[in-house]
Amino acid sequence: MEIRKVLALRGPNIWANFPVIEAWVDLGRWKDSPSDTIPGLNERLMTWLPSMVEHQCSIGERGGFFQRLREGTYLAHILEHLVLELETLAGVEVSFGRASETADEGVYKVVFRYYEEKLARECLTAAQELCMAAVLDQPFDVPATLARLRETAERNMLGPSTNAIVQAAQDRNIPFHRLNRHSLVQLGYGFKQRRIRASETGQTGAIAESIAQDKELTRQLLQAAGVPTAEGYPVDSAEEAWEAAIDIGVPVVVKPQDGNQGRGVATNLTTQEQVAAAYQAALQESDSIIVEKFAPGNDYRILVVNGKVVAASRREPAQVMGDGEQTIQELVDRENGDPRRGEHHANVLSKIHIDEVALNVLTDQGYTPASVPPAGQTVLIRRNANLSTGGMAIDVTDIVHPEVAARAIDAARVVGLDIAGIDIIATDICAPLESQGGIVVEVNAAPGLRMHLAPSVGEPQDVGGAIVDMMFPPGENGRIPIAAVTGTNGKTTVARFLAHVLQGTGKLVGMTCTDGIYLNARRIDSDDCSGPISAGNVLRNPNVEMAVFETARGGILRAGLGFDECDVAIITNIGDGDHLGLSDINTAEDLAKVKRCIVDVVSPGGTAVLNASDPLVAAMAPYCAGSVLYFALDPANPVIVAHRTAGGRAVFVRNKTIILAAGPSEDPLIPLGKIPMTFDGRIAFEVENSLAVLGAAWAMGVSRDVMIQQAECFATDMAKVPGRFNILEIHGATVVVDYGHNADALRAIIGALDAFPHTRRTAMYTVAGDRRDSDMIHVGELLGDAFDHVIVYEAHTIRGRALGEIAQLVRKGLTSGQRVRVVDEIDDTIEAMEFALDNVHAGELLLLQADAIDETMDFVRDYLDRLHRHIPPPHVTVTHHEADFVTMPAARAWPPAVPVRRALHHPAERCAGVRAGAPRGAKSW
Amino acid sequence: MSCTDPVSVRALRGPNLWAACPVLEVALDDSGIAAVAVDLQVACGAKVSFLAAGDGKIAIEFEDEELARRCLDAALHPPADLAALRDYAGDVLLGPNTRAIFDAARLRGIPVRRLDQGSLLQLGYGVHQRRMCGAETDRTSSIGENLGWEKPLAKQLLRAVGVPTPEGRLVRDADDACHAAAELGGSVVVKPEAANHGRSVFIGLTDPAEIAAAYQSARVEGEGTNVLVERCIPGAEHRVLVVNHRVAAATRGDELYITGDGIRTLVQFVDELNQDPRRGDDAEAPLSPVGFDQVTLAVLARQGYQPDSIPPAGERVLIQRNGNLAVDVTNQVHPENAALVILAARTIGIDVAGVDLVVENIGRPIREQGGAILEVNAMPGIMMHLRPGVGTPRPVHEIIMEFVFPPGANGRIPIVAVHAGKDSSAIAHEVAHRLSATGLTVGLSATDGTFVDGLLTRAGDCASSQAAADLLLHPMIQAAVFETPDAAILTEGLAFDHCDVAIVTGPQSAATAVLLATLAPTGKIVETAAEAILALSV
Repeated sequence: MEIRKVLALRGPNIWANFPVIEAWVDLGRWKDSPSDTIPGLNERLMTWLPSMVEHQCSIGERGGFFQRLREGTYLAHILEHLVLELETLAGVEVSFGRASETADEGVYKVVFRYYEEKLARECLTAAQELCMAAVLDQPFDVPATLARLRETAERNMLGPSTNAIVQAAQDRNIPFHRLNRHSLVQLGYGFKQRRIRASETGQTGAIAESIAQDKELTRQLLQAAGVPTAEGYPVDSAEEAWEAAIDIGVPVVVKPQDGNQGRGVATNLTTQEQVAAAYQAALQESDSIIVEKFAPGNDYRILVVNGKVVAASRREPAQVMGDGEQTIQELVDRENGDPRRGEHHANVLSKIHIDEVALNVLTDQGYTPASVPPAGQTVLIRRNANLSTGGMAIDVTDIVHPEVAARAIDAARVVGLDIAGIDIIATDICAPLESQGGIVVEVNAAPGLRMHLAPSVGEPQDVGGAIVDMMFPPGENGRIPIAAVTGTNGKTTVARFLAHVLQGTGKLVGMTCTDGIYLNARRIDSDDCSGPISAGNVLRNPNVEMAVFETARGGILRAGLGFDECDVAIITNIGDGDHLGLSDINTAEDLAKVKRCIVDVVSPGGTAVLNASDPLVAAMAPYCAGSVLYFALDPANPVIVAHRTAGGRAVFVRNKTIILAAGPSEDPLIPLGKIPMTFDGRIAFEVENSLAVLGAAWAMGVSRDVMIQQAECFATDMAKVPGRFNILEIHGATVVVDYGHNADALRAIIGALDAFPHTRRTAMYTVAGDRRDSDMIHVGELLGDAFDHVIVYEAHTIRGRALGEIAQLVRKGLTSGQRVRVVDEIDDTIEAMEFALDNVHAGELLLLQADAIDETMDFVRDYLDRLHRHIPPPHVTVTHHEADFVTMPAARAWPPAVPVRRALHHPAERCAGVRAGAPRGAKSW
Repeated sequence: MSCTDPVSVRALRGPNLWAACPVLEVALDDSGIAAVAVDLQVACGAKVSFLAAGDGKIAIEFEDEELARRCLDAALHPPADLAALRDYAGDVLLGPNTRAIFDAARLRGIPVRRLDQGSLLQLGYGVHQRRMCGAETDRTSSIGENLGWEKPLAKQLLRAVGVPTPEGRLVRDADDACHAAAELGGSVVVKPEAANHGRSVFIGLTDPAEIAAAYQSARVEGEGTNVLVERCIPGAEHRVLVVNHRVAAATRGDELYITGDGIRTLVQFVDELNQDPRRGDDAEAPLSPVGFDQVTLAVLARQGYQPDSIPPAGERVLIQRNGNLAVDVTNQVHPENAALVILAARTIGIDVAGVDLVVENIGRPIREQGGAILEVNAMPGIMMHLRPGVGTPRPVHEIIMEFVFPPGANGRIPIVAVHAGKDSSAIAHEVAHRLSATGLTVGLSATDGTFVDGLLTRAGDCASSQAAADLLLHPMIQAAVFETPDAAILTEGLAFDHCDVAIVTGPQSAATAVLLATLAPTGKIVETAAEAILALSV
């Protein structure tokens, strides 16, 4: 078994609307060996991971997967279940998996949900090793593997505080994105984004944090604001500390002036020795030490968020209860056996460590770790009650006295923190501090939320929700309007045109497309930016107010979508499809499922803008959670008619005018003659693109006036939409420059050129090397039927083909063309363009394919420039086929355009890991 | 404490009988001592000038109370250890950046006081108060500041939003530094991850041996922080100050050259450069002294020189690549570059940010020239803009102050001072009560305690300036009422520099005059609580 490639689909994808890993697994020699044929395999798996009995699988009940094992299932399916189980046992419960065979026999796509990529990849590797060990009857150390995976989980998953906030954000449908491997997280998109880092927000001030760190300054400010605090002051030596203790009166507390999490804090000290020892211990944490009056009572922590008390806990120091038999060390070890206790902050409780501070505390009580305390005797291991040093938390939120709450709120405000943990010592939290000598001890920035989320005793409090409510007021989900565009052809033009229309609203529009990333008119990247990373970058941008994403198939298949939800999804067309045969996408139907991903994530209030004249596109309507708006040239399109009858919206052309129709009513928006891009409506595909754009703009609430104004000034000149049906005049000939590079695009262009009067027509064309042979031949056929002269060239995109191979295939197609008389073949793009432009004559029509848009545009500009300055062109080598063309053998019957997909050797597995049924957002293929 | 002298010294921390400024009042009839104490403070850098004598006492102005006490002590017991005093002054006096902010507040009539021995300032009173620390405001995000220090992540975020940054990476060791340089190709910069002010920043290296040596120096001078190897961006270093999404100022750091004469050594040239009065060690000086540090030695070595070399006549020798003269270029910043640095500051999330960038010409778009943004710093120094080596000084301290306190705001709350003898307490309570009834959160310091909205927050006699000063720190109060008896004025000075209403009855004293001197131009002197409320509501 070999894992060929592992794709992390980090956004909504063809499998689900949540992130999954897609592993391509080659079963190799095990492809024909179901589980029941491998002796001992099932028993080993069931022994090693007995908890898999919970997996219901397609059977739908407990033990379902084990039943499938006994009946015989394939290793890819077993691998899927192993990964799910390992993720779950590592502490991250997941329950979505798929295993389906590709067109390549014995090669499966094993798909499973994940929350943390590093852990998911490790689980996959471990599952593969475990699976093969079980198959080959080799030993496998399951506990060690699980321990390693748990550590990875603990190191990489969000900590409890951050996670609580992220969960609360998700409950409100606020998107989140981790900015680093630690706890820095972006909530929301574009200009609405906020950041958190654990329980710190982007609004938490650095000055306030440093004040909170300075306990002495905090105390002064608290006092000034009438918040009760302990009397005390900084000291510079152990002797001074003792003098201070006498001055204030024992018992006292000794602590670092800028400490954290109770480190170096010693309380209830009465003797000079204790004070001196505590002073030395505190010095480990800080250079400046404070001595304070010790206030007897319980430790309380009050969490203040945005001027309100949202939770309160009573905290108890780490302690054990003697039983008259075990030593303190043994009692601590037993306590640490509690599964809720973990290292650091990841668990509900922390383990108790007997360190130097603990030894001092024990000594004060007359114990050592080896002492056996009498039954019923409480032994303190710590004096401070911090959770991180093994303490416990008891929720007291509901009983905090309003006066105490008011002091806590004052304390947070005095220091200037939006989120603050106020440490209070009081005998009784139900009574005012002043009445009982209670005090505020400390104000903590970035307080831990663990004690409120999972108190040892009492009700958990929704502190994550309170924090999210502060950052995002009710009704605000941190999202900006997003339009996603995909389809076989026209998507770049539609993305650009839509962005142009949206800019008319005065908003800053971020747009990604094949030509780059644009922020309004400014281009900030010039690579192909139709993938998820570019979309993500736009959503990270704090200036962006609206986004338009061209969403290409490659990115969806490789990494999923770059956004989790969109307001508008536009599918221009699927047609016969393009790029078929790549990435296991072999038919137009397969391709439609890929493109449908953007329809699957339309928000409930959003709209899918679908081409009614393309059956594969129209069929996506049921998958849209929002409403559907159809577009088509023809108002009588049956899909549109039916949709309008049901009260739906549509955009179409009547009397050469674009009509916005809602149910029976029709609103004539703009005559085609006023949209320069359509050349008075002559270029049908540009009319369709315009319909899609205006439909989307309508769905996004853009006003009529803005739509009209922006449509009138959107031109397809070289500057605005380079390589998208740009029309130039060179040597008196009409030259059309277009990026189209597949049969559908070519057919659309040819249709558009029909509206042109020219009699002699030349095309310069190629096909990228990753297309199927049949596609290349088909392009040749189309060219041969529509042009008198065809110049075939080979671009940079031969993608693994031998030189000359593409031209040869296209020429094969040309032989069946009815119109073509002359075929030229030129290796190089630039030379081909040079040749084509040099040999075009006045009154003729030339279609120039802009294979690499920037390069082509630069060349054309340069050519025009040279023309003006009369510089002779460089020499061009041409292989002229006029003579031998007519002697080529007649066209033969070619292999069918779409290879018949072999019936699946093993049907796709659809199963849920632990729970029955598929989780929300899972898709069925 | 250092002052062990038997003479009695009293600190009057606000307006007092002697002056409106804080003074030390010393029971000593010797104006010569007063003059020396003031001179010593001035020599230490304190901004003080007032001194007076009378009634068998002297008064000397102070900026830092303890510094003034030490200077007084030194004046009483010569000879003074000026070095020790200066050393102490360096620790306690405001640094130049914070002082500029302090002055800008004063200029706007915004009350300002220090909260600690560092740079923390409180501006304004009560509910209108704001805090600043140098050019850092209380809205400067902690996450933003930390991001600014976490360079790889900051670069990643900047790049994501389309801000050009130099390619490069952290390196593990000298070998790795050379590998990183090879990956990047061309010349590189080697610097500590947490470099500041151009220290240990080696620019324009190509030779592996130089890169390895630079790695070692950066490692050592960066105090063990990680070392970064980045593509060398052509052009000059610029610093652009962004205040609240606007460019407030920009400076260009120039290279420093000398021209050889065939006679003098480089050491001599550098000595002469350091004679320039603009060069000084203290942060206020517009230029730093030139020294032969590792970076300078490396720069010289690459030109074939050592410190004792004598460059031939007419030969231009590069001494420093960066961190030299700050040339103001605020008016030249291309709008596209302004938009870019503003986006950078916003992306990192810092309200007052110093954005460092390298570009040939700041007047042309950075993207066109292959320039790059190097880093976004919180708490930026502002002296280079206030006192550029060349060009127009930019009042960025005032611009920052306008961001914190928009025009028209002065951070003040209405203050009523009650100076009515034995009736003071009753009147003060009545004023506070009536003001509360208008819906304001009122703070009151009186003989029977401190009260906020009628609730006792501190027991005991609070008819003192200390209690009043503490009350003004309270972040919620919208109006304040203070009992200001003679004793408080005479022994502490007043806690405020302006009051809006003074309730004065009974016999007038010299202390009364001090109080009345603080009355705002629109302020009123009245005799009853009712009149006071009326005066405030006008």
